Amino acid sequence: MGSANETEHTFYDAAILSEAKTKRDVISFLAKDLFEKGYVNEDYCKATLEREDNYPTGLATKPIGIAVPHSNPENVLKEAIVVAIIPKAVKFAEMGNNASLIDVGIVFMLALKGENNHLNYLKNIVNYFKQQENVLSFHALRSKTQMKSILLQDILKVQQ
Amino acid sequence: MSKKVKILCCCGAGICTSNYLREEIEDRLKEEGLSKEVTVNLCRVTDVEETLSGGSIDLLVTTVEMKGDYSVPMIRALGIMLDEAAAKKALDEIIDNVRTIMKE
Repeated sequence: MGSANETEHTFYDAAILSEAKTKRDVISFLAKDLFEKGYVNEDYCKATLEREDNYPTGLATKPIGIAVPHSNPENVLKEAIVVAIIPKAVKFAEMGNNASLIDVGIVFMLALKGENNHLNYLKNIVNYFKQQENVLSFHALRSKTQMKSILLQDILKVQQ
Repeated sequence: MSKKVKILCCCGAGICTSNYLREEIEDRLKEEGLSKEVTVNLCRVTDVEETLSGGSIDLLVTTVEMKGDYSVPMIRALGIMLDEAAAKKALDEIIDNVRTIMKE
């Protein structure tokens, strides 16, 4: 796991997926990585792919979209949040509207075990990326260390 | 005494957008002075029918596309995360429904 950050409850990591061409590539890569590190079980990848097809998680932030793939809590062993930058955006369907495809350049894989009353991850992510300049500057990052530090301090606002 | 209202929030996995929505609803209930009259529960979309069959839910709010043939009123709260007008409309509708149910 090397330089990955870990708090008492949740594992945070960052990735840059230069080779990803589809949402399937993105989800499979991130899910496989979490599986190998022991955060999710072997069903997590398939469940998250299926769930993304049925209940898409793309959000049409501007000028480039974000997505928050996740699946059922029973496939999560230990909670983890991984943020990924996809330099060449890939298509995700929009949340609540399977027919609308959006270009997604930033993905948050949310491997969560249940309700998080004390920490509303999704709300923090959405609020941060409502600002166009935040979308642009985050998408331009090419350092995983910087990504992680912004994830923790500015986006999720968790103390390390 | 007015009736206590139980809202069920549902989304695909029952942990993510429904959780977001619950917080929005609870904030608004607080502003309206209705927090004590209402509880908000979460569930995943595949468990909605089973949860409703328990009979204690008064109002269903969903963040995903659903057919909507249920025994209780349903409000679609799609697109509320990025669209503030849509969020306000959904929350207004929820509060209206809560007030109506309380009078029953």
